[in-house]
Amino acid sequence: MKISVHDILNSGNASLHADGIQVFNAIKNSFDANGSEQIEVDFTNIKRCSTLFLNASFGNLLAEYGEESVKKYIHPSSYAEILNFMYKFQDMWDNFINKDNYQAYREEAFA
Amino acid sequence: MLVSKTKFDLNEEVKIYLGQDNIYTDVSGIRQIIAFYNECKAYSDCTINIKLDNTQWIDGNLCAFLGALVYRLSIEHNLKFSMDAKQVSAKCNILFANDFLPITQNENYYRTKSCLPFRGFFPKQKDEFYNYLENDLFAHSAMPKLSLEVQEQLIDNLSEVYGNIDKHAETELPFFVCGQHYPSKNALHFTISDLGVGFFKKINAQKPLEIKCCGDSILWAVAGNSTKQDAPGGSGLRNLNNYLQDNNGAMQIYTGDAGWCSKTVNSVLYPDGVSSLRNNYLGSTINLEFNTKNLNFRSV
Repeated sequence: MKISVHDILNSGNASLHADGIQVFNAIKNSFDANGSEQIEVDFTNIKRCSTLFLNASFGNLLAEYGEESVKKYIHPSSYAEILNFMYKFQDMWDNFINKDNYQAYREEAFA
Repeated sequence: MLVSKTKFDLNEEVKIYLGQDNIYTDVSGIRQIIAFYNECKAYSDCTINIKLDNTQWIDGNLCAFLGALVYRLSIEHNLKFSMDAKQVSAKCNILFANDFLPITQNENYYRTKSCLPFRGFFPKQKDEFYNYLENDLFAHSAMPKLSLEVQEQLIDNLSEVYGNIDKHAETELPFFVCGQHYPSKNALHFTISDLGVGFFKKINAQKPLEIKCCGDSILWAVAGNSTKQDAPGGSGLRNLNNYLQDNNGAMQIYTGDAGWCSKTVNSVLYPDGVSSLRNNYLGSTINLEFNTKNLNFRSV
């Protein structure tokens, strides 16, 4: 299954915390409904992507489903045009591993 | 304690002087604008006539800061503002040139290539903000000819700063931008002012033992500590500061009761670059000073 970030945001800029939450909800709905189906999170036509966005989307997925499930079933794709995407993605992943700080973030995000 | 405000008929005008001298992009200039703001705050439901009698000069980019405070006064105190067009024209016509004040005639007379227009964006207007960065800031004729990669990295860092305004400023009020080229100084200033809660509240909540004042919170954010801890500044602030320092530019930050300037770090008077604003400014202002003679294309 493919989920288009651009279609969800209707913009080429995935910058805001609220953008990330929108994408998180779309992926979560799909994942909960379809179980173990592979999900491709498609960044086609996305020009910019912030760490804030990745924390709110993939970071929350990691907190919700755990590292193993996200690694196995949910994959970003078509992000070659986005500057430093993998660097930021790794940063987001590190934030998750650094659980003490991440928990504070998550509590705030869902407050 | 109840603070009484002086109420007027909206048709009445109260004259308040904008500043006492030259209003530059430094602690002294910021203090003058905050003093003007505090004086206006004593009034509500009337029109403030901004007087320039004592003002010799105002840096055009500071319209972002002035505009933000004027906006807050208009919302929170129901104030209207007026200025004498002849006085503006004679003393500070930059206020016409950068769209801070509307022009109804002789538009071409005031337009100048040295200005980046004054604009306000609500936090969710991301596409409009990026358009401004691409079409007004980085396309400005005075901007150094940056490689596309460097430009994109700078926009990316500004994007992180912008995202943090939306996330951490705790406000729905707009933020304001403005810029100015100073050919004699080989500098282009770009200022962003928001009306949020500033740096201290969020950073102090994360590090109450380490961060005890607004100055501490600026230093903590500029050092890049907020990168991993989801706090104001994010990685963008640190990266922008590193880029500007590496390329003979500078950065200033004003929030709460503190100001910080990268140029004064390690100086005798302000070894950590922090100085007092003597008053409290609820919000944060970031000024980026690009060196327009810089031919260094190093990456961010």
